[in-house]
Amino acid sequence: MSTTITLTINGIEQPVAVELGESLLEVLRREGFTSVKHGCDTGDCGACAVLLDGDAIDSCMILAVAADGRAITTVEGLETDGRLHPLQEAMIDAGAVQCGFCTPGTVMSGIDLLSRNADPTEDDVKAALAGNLCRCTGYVKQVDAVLAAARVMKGGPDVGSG
Amino acid sequence: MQLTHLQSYVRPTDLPAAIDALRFGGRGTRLMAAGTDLVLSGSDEITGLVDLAGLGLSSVEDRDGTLAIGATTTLTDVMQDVATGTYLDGVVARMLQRVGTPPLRNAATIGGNLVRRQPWSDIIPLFRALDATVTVFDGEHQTMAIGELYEQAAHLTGAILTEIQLPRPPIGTAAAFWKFARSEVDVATLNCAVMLHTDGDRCTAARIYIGATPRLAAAASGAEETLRGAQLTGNAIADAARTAAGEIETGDDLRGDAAYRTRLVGVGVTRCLMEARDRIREVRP
Amino acid sequence: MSDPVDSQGFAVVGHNEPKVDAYALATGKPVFAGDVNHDDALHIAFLASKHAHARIASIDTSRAEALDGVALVLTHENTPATMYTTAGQGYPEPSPYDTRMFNPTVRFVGDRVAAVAAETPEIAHAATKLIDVTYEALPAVLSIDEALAPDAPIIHGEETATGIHDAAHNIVSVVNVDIGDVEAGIADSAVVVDTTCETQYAQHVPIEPHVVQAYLDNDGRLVLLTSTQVPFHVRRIVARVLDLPVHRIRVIKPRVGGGFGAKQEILLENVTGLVTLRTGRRAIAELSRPEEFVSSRTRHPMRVRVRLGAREDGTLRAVDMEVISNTGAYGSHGLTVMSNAGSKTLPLYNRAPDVRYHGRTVYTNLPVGGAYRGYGATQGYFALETAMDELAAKLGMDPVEVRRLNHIRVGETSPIFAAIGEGKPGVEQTVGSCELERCLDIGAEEIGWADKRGMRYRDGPWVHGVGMSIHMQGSGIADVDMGAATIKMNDDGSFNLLIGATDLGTGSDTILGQIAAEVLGVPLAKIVVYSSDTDMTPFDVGAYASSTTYVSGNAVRRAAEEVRAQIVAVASAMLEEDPDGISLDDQHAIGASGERVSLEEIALRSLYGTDQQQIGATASFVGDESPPPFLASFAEVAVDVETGQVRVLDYVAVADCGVAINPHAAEGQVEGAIANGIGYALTEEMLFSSHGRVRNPTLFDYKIPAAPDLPRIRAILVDSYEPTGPMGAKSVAEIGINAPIPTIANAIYDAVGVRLKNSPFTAERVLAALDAAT
Repeated sequence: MSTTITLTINGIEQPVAVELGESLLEVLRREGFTSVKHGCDTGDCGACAVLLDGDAIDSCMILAVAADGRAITTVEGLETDGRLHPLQEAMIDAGAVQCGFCTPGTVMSGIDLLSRNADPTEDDVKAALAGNLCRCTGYVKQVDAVLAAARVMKGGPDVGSG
Repeated sequence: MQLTHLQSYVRPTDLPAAIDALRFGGRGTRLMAAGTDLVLSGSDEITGLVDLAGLGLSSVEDRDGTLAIGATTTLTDVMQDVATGTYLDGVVARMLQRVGTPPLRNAATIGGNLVRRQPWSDIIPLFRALDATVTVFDGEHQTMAIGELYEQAAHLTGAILTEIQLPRPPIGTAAAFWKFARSEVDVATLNCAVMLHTDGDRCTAARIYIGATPRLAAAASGAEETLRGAQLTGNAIADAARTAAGEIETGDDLRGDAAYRTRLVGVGVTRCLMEARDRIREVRP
Repeated sequence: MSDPVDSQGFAVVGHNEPKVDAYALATGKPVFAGDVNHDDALHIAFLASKHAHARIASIDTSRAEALDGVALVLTHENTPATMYTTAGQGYPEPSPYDTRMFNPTVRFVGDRVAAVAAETPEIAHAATKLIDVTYEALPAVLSIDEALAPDAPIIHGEETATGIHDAAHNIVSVVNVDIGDVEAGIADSAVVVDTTCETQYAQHVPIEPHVVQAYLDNDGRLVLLTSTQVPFHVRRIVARVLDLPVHRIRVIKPRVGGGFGAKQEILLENVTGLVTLRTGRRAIAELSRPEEFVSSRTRHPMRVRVRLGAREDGTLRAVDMEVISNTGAYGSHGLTVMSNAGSKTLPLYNRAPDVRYHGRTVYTNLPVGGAYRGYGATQGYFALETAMDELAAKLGMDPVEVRRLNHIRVGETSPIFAAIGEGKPGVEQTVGSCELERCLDIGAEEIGWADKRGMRYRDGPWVHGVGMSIHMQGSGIADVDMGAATIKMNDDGSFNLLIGATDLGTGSDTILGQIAAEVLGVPLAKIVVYSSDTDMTPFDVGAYASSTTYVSGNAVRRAAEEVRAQIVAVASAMLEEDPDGISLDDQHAIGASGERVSLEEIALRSLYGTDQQQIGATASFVGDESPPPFLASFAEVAVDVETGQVRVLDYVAVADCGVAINPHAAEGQVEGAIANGIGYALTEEMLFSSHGRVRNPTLFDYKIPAAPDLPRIRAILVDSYEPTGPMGAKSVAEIGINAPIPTIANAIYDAVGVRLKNSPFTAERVLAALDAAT
């Protein structure tokens, strides 16, 4: 059974044709937002994380129809005025992007954290990234990147990265 | 596609409409909060969904010491609410910190967790130990002890869980929660929740629930009984832990075998009782 | 963190250049094989065996074929019977040819029975359930001991299989090396330890599962866009299996979402390619997470016995290692992983005159082993470094000191280097760089060894302990692995670097670009790196055996030096100066006089002006040795003596990888490998039912470490210079993963006095060991 819903994806409100039983993940990938990855389809890896009304969620665990009328942000939508989000820049500078498959989802969880806690500790960051599995980095440089982004977003000197 | 047989989806905005949609939807119609489990179930049996997200049931409220939680409040919103943080020293927030992952907690709801009755639920044993009450709507509102959700399997058929109340704790009350898992983000191999009521140094009543045994949480009634009227000494705690380990039936699954789980029962009860006792002492030196 | 002090005077090498692909990855560009959206693609789903061992008596696909939307069903009845190995190794592969695309006999739960190509993934999946298969069950072999039992069922009795050592006894391969007389050496030893360790089934868990797209180009050639570590081996093996000329296939490797060895394997390319050849349509195959666990590849579980004999002063007198490796249902990497359990471990302790290595690999009806970061060394080091710790305890010596007394040093060799190779004898070599002593000093200092060892600090039920181990690996397979690079110069003084080397997320595109930039005197931004496309780039064996930095890196250096010579020749004519006095720096050729000419001017002259030519070169490299990187590993753990749970509180890994071309990337390799190893040590284990079915093939049930499970892993790179390496570099990718199992086992011993000899060290196992000790 198909229907048409309205999603605001990266700031652009648009009608989207979906099957009732489809996950948000499937729909976003079909619509071309391929940063949203299939890693496990069981809500365990976080590679499909997106922001739904500002909160990071695993898009494999949500029906697309349940997101009707809501706002979704993916990493494709983070660039503003030709500038990457500070966390994207920090991930690159810290050497936190290895294979990069988990990077978009990890960035989403990092942004969610920074929206709730502008001054996180290392343990706060680790707890915030608990749902984003990475097999390449051992999380060291990812955690550094989130901490560095927090400093940049507070307007302080970016003393820790690069 | 996850739910290949899904034919209808509605998001009603009031409870009567939701009940109607459920009743007239037919056998394959289910209530859905966030849907995180439903989506993953991939069940062919589901033909209709009634999404509860439009009912305005997402809130956390301190009602004169009682913590009232709307059924569709996300775990994150419960965990980060100020009222949750102060309720019984923040035991609910500490427990929720160990549930799932941040993206899951941002979606999954407190009511969904209670209704899904997954045996490893961390929320169910704690809420049972805290003597929670729940309000359901089946045309009219009705409030009952949380245990009725689990002791009468069919109770919620045709009804919607709307709110959970954690009662105002009397003075001299403390609670603790303990979870053993293979890793930081795994579900429990075993969990344990305790609430102690005390009067001076004596325990007047105890609630002890053990979950993920690997079955759904159950009370350690014998252990609760040994503590009634007892001084909370090391010996009394050890007695209670031994009794709990003897009475709680455990089983095997890939997270642990029965004998190991029985060991964990003793450890969990001991640690929870000691923590709860210490919390009482902290407020009443 | 600022760039480390640059002791070699490099301008680009040794600096933390951002990865050349980082922007595309951080912004979610469609750079992975599964990211290309095509509505017209056929989707492939697989039917897997539910039996551990069975003959397919009959298979009827008519109901599946009749389903609307099904384009093709493949089984053993309509696919090539060509025998091959899925192991993506150099030709001829040292793995047996014991595999068909679809086998008429299934040999593990998860073995491939059929594939369906259909218009949607849902239809393909539904159609697999309409394939009617009648199985004739055969007795199954579900452990090493059952495989070696006198009347064991034979797993590979088919006459068409080749390269199996002794199929009648389920023995895939045997390696026996005897140097001196180990029994005499043991008898002559003052102290002897004898220890046996067993490792578990584990999976690589790349976050991107295997995925392939196949399509025909406008000339009808088969194009495979595949998440692989070995594009050139894919082309060669698929060509043979599908009976196509190599030149009719193009393999393109886009970005890869992690491999760790799992993608050194030809699993999906032949099936996807065949669907496209038969239907003329684009086809895509993507493993689900459960399929990735069960039906891709795993780490070979091993039982390793080590006997050590030492003199009273602690120097080793004799070393004996006996290995039985379980390759599962097929012999992929069966010989070489087992060989590496000895060849990458035993040379570390070269003091002992008497050394023996006896290894066997056996078949079982369980999931298939394959290449997995560490490649046998991981399994071998568990037993070896546990035995060294036991030896230290018996001698009453500090474990660090026992290692210091015995480890190999610069200028030294080991007879094992020459004795054990990969399917052929190894290569003699002398160690040219080894900073292990400094690694030990730094590691011991950082972990607080002197203060913490033996102290058993107690915090409630948690008892603390520290443990350590040391390691070496290699840098490519000497005399086997070849990499090549092409560099050509463009109008603006930039360069294209074309490499067969396969970046699977490690950053090799970046570090190879840094090597080229260093030689050519340009910033990395002036090197356009393009890798791993069999039509466009020169050959490279691919990303495995810790080869890329050393083998491909040397090829890049050579190509860049040839290009530099061409540039200098042009500059010599332009500057009218002797070429010997001309150097390249800052995007200029600079004469002895100080006169400069820009690379852009040189390029424009060459392309459009005088003596016109394309400045460019292709160069190749084969290592005639495989310089080992070294690692000293230290951990502090806490053991909950009431539950048995182990937490890693601190981890220090000090590595000698020669010059780190890109320190961030090198640290990242160590950090990631240690993290993976901690998971392997503590939680990761594939569990089996009594019928051989994997019980936990999901990330819900199989736990890899998440961020809060790990301490801040401290990777420290020591200054070192490998004389044969490109800019002094050697490998760093694999070595770290060998360390956590023995390091944590030894730390648990320090904390609570029990030795864990079966990995992983789950809480339940640790508690059982504590119970047994009291």
